[in-house]
Order: sequence, then structure tokens, then C-alpha cells
Amino acid sequence: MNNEFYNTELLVRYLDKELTAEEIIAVEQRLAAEQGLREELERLKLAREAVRLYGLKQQVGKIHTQMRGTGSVIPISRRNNIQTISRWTMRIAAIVVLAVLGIGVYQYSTLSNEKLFAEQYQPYEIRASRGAETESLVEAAYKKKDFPGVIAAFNNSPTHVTADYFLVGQAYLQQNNAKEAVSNLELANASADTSHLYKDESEYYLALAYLKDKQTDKALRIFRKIHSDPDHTFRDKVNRWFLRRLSLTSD
Amino acid sequence: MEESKHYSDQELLELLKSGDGIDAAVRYLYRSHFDFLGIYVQQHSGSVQDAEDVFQEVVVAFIDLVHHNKFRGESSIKTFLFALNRNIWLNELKKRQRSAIREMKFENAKPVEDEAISEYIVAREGRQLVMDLVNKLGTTCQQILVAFYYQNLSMSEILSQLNYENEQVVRNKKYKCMKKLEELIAADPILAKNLKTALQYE
Repeated sequence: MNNEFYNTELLVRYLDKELTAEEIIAVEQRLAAEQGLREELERLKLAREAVRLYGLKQQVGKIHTQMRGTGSVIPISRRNNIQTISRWTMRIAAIVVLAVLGIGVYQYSTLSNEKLFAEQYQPYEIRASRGAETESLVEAAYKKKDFPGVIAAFNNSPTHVTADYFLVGQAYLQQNNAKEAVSNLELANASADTSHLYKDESEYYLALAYLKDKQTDKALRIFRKIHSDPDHTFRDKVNRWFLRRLSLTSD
Repeated sequence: MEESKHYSDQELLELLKSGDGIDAAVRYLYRSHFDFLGIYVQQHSGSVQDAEDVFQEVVVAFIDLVHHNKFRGESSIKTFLFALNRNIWLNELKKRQRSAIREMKFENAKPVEDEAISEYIVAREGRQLVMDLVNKLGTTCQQILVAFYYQNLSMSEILSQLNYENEQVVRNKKYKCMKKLEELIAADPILAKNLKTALQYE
């Protein structure tokens, strides 16, 4: 063991408080006398502090790594981004769900035969091309939109053709008499053959009369038939959305 | 249980001063202050990595100051950590000299309000050399010296962790490691001066 190493060992033991009282006195006497030894002791103190700081850094670094590994420490901006994204996603999703639910609830709560009828119903208008020379009193009154006159003319006429039943059915719809509208439009619809001028119209308005008369199942059956017939005159008016809502009002 | 435990400032200081409590204290510091301090760095031109690095340095510096009785408790730990975090980050920005704007920001920064923080900032550069210095030692030297001087393990405990014949061999190895470290410091007078500034707490 050389002298230099002996000195280091002595100084390290001095720093570590491993010397006896006599040895301490001896070392301190030497330190007082030898500048080189004092400088070495200072450097050993620095070395010891460096090791302590190194150890502390290692320990904190290890915990930092562990906490990141367990997700306890997630970089703030990333977490904020995630939170912001998920927060906004949740908000948007909640708004969409609430909106859909709200619309659904509103639609359901406000859904009624009257409402669906009002959406769908447009008074029938006789087209001018229909032969004027064979115009009946019923038809003449209808053209004038004299609906009580239509009903009176119909009742005063001993014989009726399909068109009469159809038009008086329309007149009863205008007068909000759903029962009479249904019975006359049923006759119009039953008597209508494929060549009948009012065939599609009879079917469509009979369904509307059923709807107004709260005979929803019968109305639904006819509307579904119209919807499934691509050639039907009123097919475009009877869409899926209408059928779906109508089915909600049926028992 | 530990994850949800709250410590008062006094309890935390006692935990930090007790050798066995440092893990729990560091975890608590992360849980309680990482977000708050990290946001400051990120709001002042720092990246996520900067925020993490600075916080790690803040924790190390704070514990070191506590160990050297430099934290006098004149402000709360939270306030102290915030000031430490801000000054370390501004010092880092200055060091990086990224742009004139950031330099302006540094010049306009609030003065350091705590003497211990001021001393730390002065010594900061030297402290960063410590890691480089100890890294120059071999792994065995690092293990022995850290176990003895930082973890305060006895020679018999160190012997149980390392593959040596007996305690005296470990003891001799420790002297050699210390000598090597001392020689590294002696070989570089500027390093020695910087370390002295950085580590002289006694």
C-alpha cells in the first residue's frame, strides 16, 4: 500500500467517522500542517457530496419512470389533449344523443293522427280536363268548393257513380266528418277498377279518411300498399318516415 | 393507501429527512405538484419533456436543500417549489438562448425571492456536472458509493448485494473508488471550482 493511498483511506475513514479519537487528533494535526492533505480532503468531501446527489437523482429518476409506467404521471399537455379531446367528444356525443332523444321524445309526444293527417292532407282539386259535358251536380258543386252543396247534391241524387262517392267523401273530409268520409270513400275505392279515373285517389284519400277517423291500422295497411307501389300516383307522398311515425300511433 | 395520503408541509419535511420516507415523499410531490408546475413550463415555451425534466430537477433540488437545512419554511412548500420551478426554467431558457424574445422574457422575469433558490441557480451548472463525473466511474464503484453514502447501507449489507469475498474487500474497493473520484476532480481545476460552488452546503 503506497503512501498516497494510505492518505486517501485515512481521509475517507476520517470523513466517514470511522477513526478512533486518537486517530482523529492525529489526522487533524496533519491537516493543520499539510496543505495538500487539506486539499485532498476537500476534494473527497466534494466526491462524497457528488455521490449523494447522484444517488438522489437516481432515486427520483427511478420513481419518475415508475410513475410514468403506471400512468400516474402523464405529460400534462398530452393528458390535456386527451382530456380535451375526450371531453369534447363526450360533449358532442352527449349533445347528439340528447338531440336525438329530444327529437324522438318530441316527435313521439306530439305524434297524433290529427298531426299526421294535417301533414299529409291536401284538398282534392278536380282537373279541368275532366269532361265538362258529363259534369254532375255533385262535381259542379265540388268545383265551386261548395262542400255542403256537394253533400246536398249527392243526397238529392237517386243514383251515384264512383266519382260521386269519391267527391262526397272529399266533401265530408272538408267538413271534418270522418265517419261519412270513410263510408263514401270505401264505396268509391271498392267500385273503382283499374281503368277508373279516381282509382289511386280513392285509395289515398280513403287512407287519409281512416287516419282522420283514428282507424290507424286500416290507414297504415293502405299507406304501406301505396308506398310499395312504384307506379302509384301518391307513392312519393308516402315515405318511410311517415310510415314509421304512423306505425308508432297504431296499437 | 399511500396514493391518497395527504401530507402537511411539516409531515412532508419529516418524511424527506427520514431516509426511508423519500420514496413516499417523492411520489407525493409528483401527485400534488407535477401538474401545476408542469403547466407553467409548457405555458412558457417548454415542451412536455422540458416540463418533466424541470420537475425532476425541482424535486431533486428541493430534497437536497431540505437535507442541507436550506429550506427554512418561510413560504409553503408549494410556493417554494413554484419559485424553484420558475427560476430553473427561466435559467434553462436563458442558457439555451433560443431567441431574443425569450431572452427578453428572462430579463423581465421576477427576481429570485428566496436565498436558497438563488444559491441553487448559481450552482446549477456545476450540479449538472455531477452526473457526468460519477458516470465516469465504473458501475461497481457507483453501486458501492451510492449504497454507502446515499443509501447509508452498512458494509455487510453492501456485501450481500455484491459478489465480494468479505467486507474488507468491499471497504478497500470503496477507498479506491473515492480515490478515483477525487482524482477526476483534481485533474480539472475548473470542474473542482464548479463542484465546490454546487455542492458546498456544509
